[in-house]
Amino acid sequence: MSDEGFALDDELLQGFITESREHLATIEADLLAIEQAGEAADAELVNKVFRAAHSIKGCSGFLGLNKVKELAHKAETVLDMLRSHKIRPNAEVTNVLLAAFDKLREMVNSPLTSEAADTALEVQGLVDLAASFLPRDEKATVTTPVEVATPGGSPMALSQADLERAKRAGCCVYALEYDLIHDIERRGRNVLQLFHQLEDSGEILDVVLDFAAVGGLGAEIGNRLPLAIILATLTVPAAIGGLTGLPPAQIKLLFDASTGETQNVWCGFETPRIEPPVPKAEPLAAPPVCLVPQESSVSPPSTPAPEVHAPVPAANAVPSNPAHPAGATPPVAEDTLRVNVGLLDTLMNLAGELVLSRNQFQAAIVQNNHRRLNSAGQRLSQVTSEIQDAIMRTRLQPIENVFSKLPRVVRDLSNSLGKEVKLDIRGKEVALDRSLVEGLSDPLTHMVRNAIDHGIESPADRRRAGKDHTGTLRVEARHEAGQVVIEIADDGKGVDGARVAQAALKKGLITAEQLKGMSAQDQIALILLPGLSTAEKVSEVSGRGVGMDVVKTNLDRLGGQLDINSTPGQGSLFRIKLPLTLTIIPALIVSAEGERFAIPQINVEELLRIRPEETKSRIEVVGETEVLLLRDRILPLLRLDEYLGVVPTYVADGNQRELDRRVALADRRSPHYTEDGQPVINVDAPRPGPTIPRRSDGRRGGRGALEIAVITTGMFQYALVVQSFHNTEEIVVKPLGHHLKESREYAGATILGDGAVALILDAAGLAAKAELTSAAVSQRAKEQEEAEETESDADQNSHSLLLFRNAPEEHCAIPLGAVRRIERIKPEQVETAGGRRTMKYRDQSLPLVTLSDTAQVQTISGARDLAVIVSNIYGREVGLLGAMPVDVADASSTIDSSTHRQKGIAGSAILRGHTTLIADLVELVDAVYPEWGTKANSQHPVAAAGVEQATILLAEDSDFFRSQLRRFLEADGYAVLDAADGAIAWNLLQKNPDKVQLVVTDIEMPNMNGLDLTRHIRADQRVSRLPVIALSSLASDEDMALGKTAGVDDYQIKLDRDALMGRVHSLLAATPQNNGLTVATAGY
Amino acid sequence: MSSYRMEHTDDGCRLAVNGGLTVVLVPELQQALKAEVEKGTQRIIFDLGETRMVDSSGIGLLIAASNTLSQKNGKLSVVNTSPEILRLMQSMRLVSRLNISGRPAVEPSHE
Amino acid sequence: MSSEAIGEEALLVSVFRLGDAMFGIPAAQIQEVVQMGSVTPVHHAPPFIVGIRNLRGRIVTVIDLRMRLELGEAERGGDSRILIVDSEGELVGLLVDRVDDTIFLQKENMSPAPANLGALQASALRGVYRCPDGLVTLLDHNPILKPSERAAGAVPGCR
Repeated sequence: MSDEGFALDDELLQGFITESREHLATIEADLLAIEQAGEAADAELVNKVFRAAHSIKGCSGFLGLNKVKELAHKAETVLDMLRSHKIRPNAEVTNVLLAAFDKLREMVNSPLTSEAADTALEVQGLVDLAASFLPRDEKATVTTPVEVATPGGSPMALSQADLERAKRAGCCVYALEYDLIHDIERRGRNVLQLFHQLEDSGEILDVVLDFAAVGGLGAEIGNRLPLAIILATLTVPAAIGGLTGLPPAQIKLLFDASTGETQNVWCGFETPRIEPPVPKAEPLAAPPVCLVPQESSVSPPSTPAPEVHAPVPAANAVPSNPAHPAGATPPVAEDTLRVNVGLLDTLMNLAGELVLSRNQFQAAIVQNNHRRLNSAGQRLSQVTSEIQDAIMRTRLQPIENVFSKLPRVVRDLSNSLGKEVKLDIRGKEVALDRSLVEGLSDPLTHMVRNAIDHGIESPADRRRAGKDHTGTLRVEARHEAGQVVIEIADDGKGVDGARVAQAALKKGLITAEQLKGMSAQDQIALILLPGLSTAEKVSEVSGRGVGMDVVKTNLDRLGGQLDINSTPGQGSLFRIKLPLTLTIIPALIVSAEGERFAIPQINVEELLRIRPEETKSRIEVVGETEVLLLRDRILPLLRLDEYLGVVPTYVADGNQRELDRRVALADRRSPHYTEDGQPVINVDAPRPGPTIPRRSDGRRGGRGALEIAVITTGMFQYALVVQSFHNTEEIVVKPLGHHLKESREYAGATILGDGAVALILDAAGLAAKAELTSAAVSQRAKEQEEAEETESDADQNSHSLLLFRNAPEEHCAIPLGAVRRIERIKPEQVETAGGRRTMKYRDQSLPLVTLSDTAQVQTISGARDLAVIVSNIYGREVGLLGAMPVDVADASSTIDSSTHRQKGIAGSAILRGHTTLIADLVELVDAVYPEWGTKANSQHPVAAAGVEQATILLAEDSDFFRSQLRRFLEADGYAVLDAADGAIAWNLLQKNPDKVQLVVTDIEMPNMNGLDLTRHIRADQRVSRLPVIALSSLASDEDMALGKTAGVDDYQIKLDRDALMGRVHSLLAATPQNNGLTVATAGY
Repeated sequence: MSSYRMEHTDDGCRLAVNGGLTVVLVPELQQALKAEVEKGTQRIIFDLGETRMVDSSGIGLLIAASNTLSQKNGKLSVVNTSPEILRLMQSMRLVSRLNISGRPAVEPSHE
Repeated sequence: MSSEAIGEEALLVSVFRLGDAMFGIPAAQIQEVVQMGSVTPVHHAPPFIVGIRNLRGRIVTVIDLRMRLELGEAERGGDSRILIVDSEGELVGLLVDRVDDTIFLQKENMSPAPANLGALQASALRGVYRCPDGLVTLLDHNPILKPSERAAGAVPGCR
C-alpha cells in the first residue's frame, strides 16, 4: 500500500479524476479567450473557470489531496477577483493562472505523487497576485485563516477572502456535520454526489473528515464519523434543513446574511460529544494538513507596494508540457473515449443485422442449400465490413484534440522570442484514428515551434523585408483521397536549401558528390537528417538537438509521409500525409537471438517462467519433440532461438538442396559452433518440402530460467521458449513483400518505437514450419474431426428422450415430447384399488401405469423416491410410474424396434452404455385402461361419419418413430402410406396424388429432408394444397419460421400423440377433400 | 457467533476477528484494547481474514484505536480485509489512516 | 519497360559494382539509393534475401543482388548501398557493393552478353558496354525479382 493509500481501483478517486479532467480540459482555451477579451470578457466564461477551480478544491479536500486543494483554493480566490472585476485579465495574470492550472493538471493526473509535488511557486504566484490587487487593508484577507474548529480540532481552510465573498453575495454560511457512516454510506450515497448537490445551491468553502472526533479507546466510542462541510448559500436558515437533509443539531449558522451577524466562528458542533475534544497541543494522527499559509508569508501591509502587477515568476517563461515527475509512478492513463451517440446507434443496428445474417447463414447450413449459403455468406460478409468500419470510426477523434494545444504554444513562444504570430487553424473537425492523433501531437508541436523559431522573422526583419510585422502560421487539416493531409505553412523566411546543404556537408552528413546531384527540393529535405541544425545557437526553445529527424521517425511509425516546400524569403510549407486507417493490433514483444519479435496478443494464452531446477520435471522429450507439462496438458515445445539459429537447408529453384549461406558469413548469432569455432552443419538427411529439420544437439537443460509463451493458434496450443519477454504494445501491422510469401512463420512486420523493425510471428505458420504437428496434436485434430462428424450424423437422427429407471438396473426412456410434467413422490403416495394404481394429484386422482403392468420387467421396489411422468393420452392425464433418477438425453443412436419389443415397450437403444427400454405409453394405457381408447375412437369423425378412410402420407426415417406414428394414425382409423425418406415419400405421392389427404413428415431425413419435400409438394399443382404437418426434435423459432416459409402448415414436436392427432383431425376437417368425401366437422 | 482471538507476537498485538466486527463485539474488544494500550503495547494489528462484516461501531472502534495509539506514538494496521470491506473503507478515506490492506491475491498456478 | 529503353541511342544508367564487376540499371528505374542502414534478417527465408528494412515507414525487402546473380555474395561493407526499385508495384531493395557514377551507355559500344551464362543470368543481363572505366553489363532487374519463376523456363527480353 502506498503511503497515501490510494488504490487505483478507488472509485471515488477515479470519479474525482475524471471530473477534474473534464473541468481542466478546456481551461487553457478559456483563459486565453478571457485574456483576449480583456475587460469585455464574458462573465459566464470567467464563472466557468471559477467553478472548475472550486469544484476541484472541494473534492480534493475530502480525498486528502491537500496540495491540490490548496492550489485550487488559491486559484479560486484569484478567479473570484477576476469575476468581480477586481483584477483585469492581462498577460501576467493569465500566465500565473495558466501555470497554476498546469500544475493542477499534472497533480490530478498523478494523484499518487501529488502530495509530494512542489506547488510553492504556483501558490505564491497566486497569493502575490491576489494580494497586489487588493486595497492595502485587505491584502491580508487572502491568507488570513478563519478558524472554524471541529471538535476533533481538524482545521478547516477558510480564508477571510472566502467569507467576504460569501457576505458580498448575500449568502449565509453554515457549518454542516454529516455523519459519513449514517448520513451517507448507510443511505447508499456517494460523497461526490453529495458535493454536487450542495454545490448546486451554493459554494462549499471547505470539507474535512473529522477522524479525531471519534475519540479514543478511553471512553465510550462514538459510532459516527463526522464529515464537516462549510457551505455558503443563499438558502435561508429555515430551509437549510430541507436542502441538506440534516437535523438542526447538525447544522450551525455561522453567518446570517439577514442580520449580518457572524456567529461565534470559533465554534464546535452542538451534537454532544462524550469525550472531550483532544487538546490541539497533542500530536494527532496527522490529519490532512491544511496549508493555510502562515502570516509570515504575507507581505505586511506596511510595505509600500506600488499597485503594479505581481512579477511573473521569471523562470516560468515557457512552461514545458507536463511530463512525468522523474522516476515516479506513471500518470493514470486515459483509457476511455467519447463516442458519438449516433454512431452507437449504428453499431446497435449493425449488431442486429449481424444476428439476422447469422441466423440466415445457420439455416442455410441446416438446409444444405448452396444458393442460400452463398447469399447468406455475402450478407454476413457485408455486415461484418460495415461493423468493422463503424468500430474504426469510434476510434476516430477530431484532430482538434491535437490542434487545441497549439494556440498556447504559439502564444508563449512568440512572446518569449519577441515575435508576432497569428495562428490560423483550419479543419479542426477532421477526424483521425485515435492512435494517430496521439502520435501527431509531438511532431506537430515541434514543427509549429520550428516555424516560429526558425521560420518567422522578428517584426523588424519582416518590415525590412516589406512584410507585415505579424507573421502568419497556418495549420490546416483536410481529407484527400483516402488520406489525411496536414499542412503547416508559414510566411517566414523559408528554408535556404543551399545553407542546409552546406551545413550537412560540413558535418559530413553528405558528400560533395551527393550534393552535386541534388535538386533544390532535395537540399531542403536535408533538414530531416539527424544531427543537423543550422541555427547558430541551438535555441533553448525548439532545438536541444532534437531535430526534424525525430519528427520524421515519429511520422514514419504512423505510416505518414512528410513533404517540404519552401521558397527562401517567402515561407515554408510542411505537408504531412497520413493513411486514414491502420491495422493496429496489440502484441507482445519478445526477444530471441538478440532480435525482437512481435506476437499478436490473441495468440498468446499465457506466459510462464520455469526455474532452472524445474526444467527437468516440466520438460520431456517425446520421440524427437520436446514437450512441456503444463497443469493438465502436454504441449509441444519450440525454442525460438533454436528455430531461428538452426542451419537450414532449403529447396532452391531446381529442387536442389542448398546450404543457407548465412552460416558461411559467420552468422555470429548462431549458437551452432563447436569449440574450435567451426560451424556445425547438418546437410545430410535431405527432407522434402519447405520444412526445417530440427536439431537435437543434446544441449538441453542447464540454461537457466526459461521464459515461455503458451501460444494458441485456435486449433491447438504449443509452448514457445523465448529469450525474454518485453511489454505489450499496440503495433501497426505492415505486410511483407511478395518475396517473403513463403515465409509463413511471419505474419508481417512492424516498426517499433525506436525505429527498429520487428517481425510479427504467425502462430500457425511457425508451428507448421517447425513441424510442431506432433502425434499428440494430429491425434487431437483427428478426434475433433470425428466429433464433428458424429455431430452431423447425430443431427440426422436426434431424439430427445427422458430417461428414468424401473428396477434400479433397468434403464428406461420415453420420448421427451410426450412428457407434460415430472413429479417426485414417495411410494406411500401410490394408492391401489381394483388392480389399478392411482395417486392424489392436484385435487384429483391421477391414474398411474407402470411398465411392469404389461411388460416382462421387474417391479419397482425398494426405491425411496418414485418418479411420476405425467402425460396426456386420449385427452386424459396419466402418470407413468418409474424410479429416480431421471435425466434427459439427446440420443443419436438408432432405436431398435424389434429385439425388446413387447406390449408397453416400443423398442430399445444403447444410451450411455446401457440398454435402455423405450416405453410405449399408449400401449400401457390401452392395456390398463382399455375403455379410454375405445371412447376416444368413438368420437373419431371419420369413424362416426362412416366415410372412407383418409390416407395419410408419412415420411420418417427412424424406424422406431415411423412405426409408432403409423400405429397412432391407424388406431384413429386412417390409412397410412409410409416412407423412410423424403425422396421415397415424394415418389409415393407422385404415384398416388389423389389418394393422399395429408402429409406428416419428419424434418431431418437423409436424401430429401422434410422442408424440401414440402417445397416440392407446394410446387406441384396436383398436390399443392395438401396439409403438411412437420415433426421435429428441434423446434426453435427460426426452424418454425423456415418451416412456414417452406409451406408447412403445422410444426409438431416428436412425439406428442394427442397434439399430433388433434392437428391431423382438424386439418383434415378444414380441408375440402379432392375426392368428394364429406367430413363431419365435429371432432377434436 | 462472532468472536475474536488475541495473540502477542514480536510485531505487537494481533487481533483476529471471526464473523462480525460489530456492536455486539465492540464493547468487549474496546476493553481488551484499552488494557493492551495501558500495558504499553504500541502496535496493534487487526486481522480481518475471517471477518465478514463491519458496522459503524466497528469502524468507530478502529478509528478510536488508531487515535489512541497515535497519541502514544503507536501504530494501528488492519490486514486481510475482504474486498467488500476494503471498498467501504476506501469510500470513507480510511485506508491510509488505518493502514488497511487487503487479502493477498491467490497464487496463479503457473510456476 | 527495359526493352523500350534498349535500342535508344544512349541510355542513362546508374553504375554499381558487384565485386569487381560493374553493372548498370537504367536510372529511371531506380527510385532512390540508400545506405544499408539496419536490415532485420528474416530467418529461413531464401538466402538471397538479406532481410527487411524500414524505408520511411515502409517495409522493404532487401535482396542480395550478387547472390541472386550467382556471383558470390554481397560484401556488406561501408560502401554497400541499396538500390530501391519497383517490382510489380512493390518497392524492393537491391543490395550492391558500391555505387559509382551515373553515365550514358552508347549503343554502339555494346556487345551481346556471353553465351555461356546460367539461365537466370541470361534472362537479366542485357548486353555488355564498353565504357571509359571498364565493361558495364546492363541489367534488367525484373526477371530477377520474380521469385517463383524457374530460371530454366524464363523467356528473356520481351515484356
